Amino acid sequence: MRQALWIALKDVRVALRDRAGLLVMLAAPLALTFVFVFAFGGQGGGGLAQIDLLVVNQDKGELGAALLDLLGAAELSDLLAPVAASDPAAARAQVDADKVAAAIIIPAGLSEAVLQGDGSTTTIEIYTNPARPISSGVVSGVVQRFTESVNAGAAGAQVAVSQLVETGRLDPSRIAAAAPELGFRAAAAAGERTLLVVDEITIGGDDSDGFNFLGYYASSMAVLFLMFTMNSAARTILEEQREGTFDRLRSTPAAATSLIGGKMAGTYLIGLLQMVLLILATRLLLGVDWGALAGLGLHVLLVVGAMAALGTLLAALARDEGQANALGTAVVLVLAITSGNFLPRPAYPDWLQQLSLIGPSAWGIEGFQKLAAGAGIPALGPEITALAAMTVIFFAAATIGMRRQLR
Amino acid sequence: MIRLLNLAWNDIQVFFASRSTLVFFLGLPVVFTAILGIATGGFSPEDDPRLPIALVDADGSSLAELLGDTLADSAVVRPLTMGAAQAEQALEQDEVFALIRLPAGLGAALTEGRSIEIELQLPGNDNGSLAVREAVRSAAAQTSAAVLAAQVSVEAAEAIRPFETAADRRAYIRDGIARAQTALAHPALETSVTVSGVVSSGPQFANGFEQSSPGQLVTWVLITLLGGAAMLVDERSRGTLRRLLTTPSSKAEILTGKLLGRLSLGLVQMTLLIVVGQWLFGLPYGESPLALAMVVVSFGIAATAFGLMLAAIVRTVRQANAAGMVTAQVLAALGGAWWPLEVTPAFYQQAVQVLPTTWAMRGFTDVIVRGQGPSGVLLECGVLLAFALLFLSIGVWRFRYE
Repeated sequence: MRQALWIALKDVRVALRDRAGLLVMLAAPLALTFVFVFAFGGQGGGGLAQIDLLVVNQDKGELGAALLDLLGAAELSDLLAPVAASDPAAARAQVDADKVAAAIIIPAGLSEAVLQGDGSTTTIEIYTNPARPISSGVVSGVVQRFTESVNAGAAGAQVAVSQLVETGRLDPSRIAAAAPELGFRAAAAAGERTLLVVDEITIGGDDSDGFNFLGYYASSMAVLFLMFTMNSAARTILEEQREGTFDRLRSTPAAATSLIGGKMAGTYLIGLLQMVLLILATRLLLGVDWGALAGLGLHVLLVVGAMAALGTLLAALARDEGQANALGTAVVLVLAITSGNFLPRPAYPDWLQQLSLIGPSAWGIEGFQKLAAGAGIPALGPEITALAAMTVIFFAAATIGMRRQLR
Repeated sequence: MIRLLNLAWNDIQVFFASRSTLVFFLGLPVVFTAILGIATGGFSPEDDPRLPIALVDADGSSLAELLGDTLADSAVVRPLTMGAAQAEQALEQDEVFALIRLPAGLGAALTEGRSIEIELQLPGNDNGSLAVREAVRSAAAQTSAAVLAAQVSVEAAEAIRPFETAADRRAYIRDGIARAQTALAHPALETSVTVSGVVSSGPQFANGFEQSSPGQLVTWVLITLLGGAAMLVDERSRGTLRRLLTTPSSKAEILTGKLLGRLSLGLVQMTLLIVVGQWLFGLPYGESPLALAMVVVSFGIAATAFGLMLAAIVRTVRQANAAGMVTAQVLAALGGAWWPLEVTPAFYQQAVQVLPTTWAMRGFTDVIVRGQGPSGVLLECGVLLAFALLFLSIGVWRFRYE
């Protein structure tokens, strides 16, 4: 027992003195969390930059001017940065050269054609940059809305005039005088209110206030690099074997179990230390909310347990340190990409979210998400059960494998 | 020259001596590309890039039908009419992106000029949601506009001569809605969306693989090439570099040979990942082979040179491994390999212009998304080679052979 403890504490001391190890343990997850904060501005994903676009207005009438007004309107100023241009070809060339996200080309005679209602169709061209598909979609949406309100007006005028004339309420000679006023009223009615209200329900576990990228990545990066650390810590068991430490220790009364127990305890303590430091650092430096302390403490103990067990099992399955390194890294990366360590889990298709539950990483992330959302220990039932079960199974398998290796 | 090639070939053989190398060289990058691509929207069938959405019509009136038809004309969504239970299941199993419910009584409410809610269920955390939301609102607004047009008409009629009975008025409105539907079906004004370049089929939303394939290529090739640092440090600490110096080879020859070997690995890896991207994920890598080759070689040289610079800074193999892995991931993430720079704030986009990964991603995007030829990638390649020169100078200046 004392020997096991001695081995464990020695491992912790060695880990804290290893500068390269500390880089992976603490600096890397913090650096990557900072990158995410830098890219997404912490809360929510509302970091989209103003969209640069060119507007070529060749129309002399009021509709072209109205579209220009809409694009430059105050409520869109956070989203769009329109710049007037005169030459359609030059504007398209700017899009081709990836200088702007899109060019809007308003054709000559647009107002005349639409307001006269001669049955022809006029087209506003939106020339988009495929390298900025999201911005292009936003610009198309805004122009589309303008087009709809113009069409609503044109249709309104057409309907009202034809009905009035047919029921003898309007003399055909007065059509040209009455149409614009009716069209304006229909466009205004369509612009002011909609009779069909879209009630949006967000699915996938997060609310419409925006996904908390900071909270998500702080925990997903911590879990990812915990996996790396646990693998590399558990691997030192093979190093000891190679250097003959075990043979020397075996000449003392310590049994194989206490040797393995000591290495496992050391691995576990290193992981615990890493998680506590990462949680403290992200809490103090970035204000990440990790949830209530009791639940968080329990979840951390279990996550580290499952990861330490997994790392030990992987070391037990390998022939030598090189193989353990390759196998461990590959398993960690596959678990990470399937579990949502790199990309938010809710974005994944359902089958992948289910499949990833075979590893501890997905359960770890799920638990931290629940805690951050304010859940207590009772709500963590599935995570606690799954992580505890994995810890027992992996450790049991690892102990059997290790004993065979040491024999 | 032969000595140089011998050195390079020797390093390539050493690299592939372990079979597990192939996992990192090809296996993991392909798995990452596939999963990230699928997760960010690369599941639409090729013949119709629009997002599939389930449409549950509990009303069945002509106005509900109008809404469905308007949606079907959208450039963003592809409505699939189905029963409520089937739609729930399809949404659950990710066969559809979103679900729209048209409640019973929708037609009656609209005809009477009352407003009514339609329900839209969609994922909160997806780039496609923005476009789908717009498309549904737009279709709803068009349907609503038909009713409002009829209302304007009936009010105008009443102002001139009131209706004799309420039934007359209702008939007038119904007739007006029908006329408005016809009028809106042949709109006076349209928008056409043209996508720049010859390559993209022009979906309205990001295709997952267009981001994940070049992104993962940049990430994993960087890991391979920065791994050159660990190789050099290992040879230095084992003393093999010093032993090589006792042979007739000069320092310059030895270093060039080693870097050439590492660069070849990167080029082979990129070629394999590009072939996979082309054949498995259907990306148009091959539109301009020359432009693609220019980007591949420039990025390869810049990343190899970065590896040498790293080898000059770190002391032990463990440090080189850890620093290489972490640097590769951070540079890739910052440079737009993990998510498009388009979704980041303006100052971020400016700041990351100082990274080679940003320019590598720009180069690949130029070729596969913007359809650029050799002249279109000159700037990107020039910047990458300038980075290479800088890294090489620092590396050669600081690198110690023993």
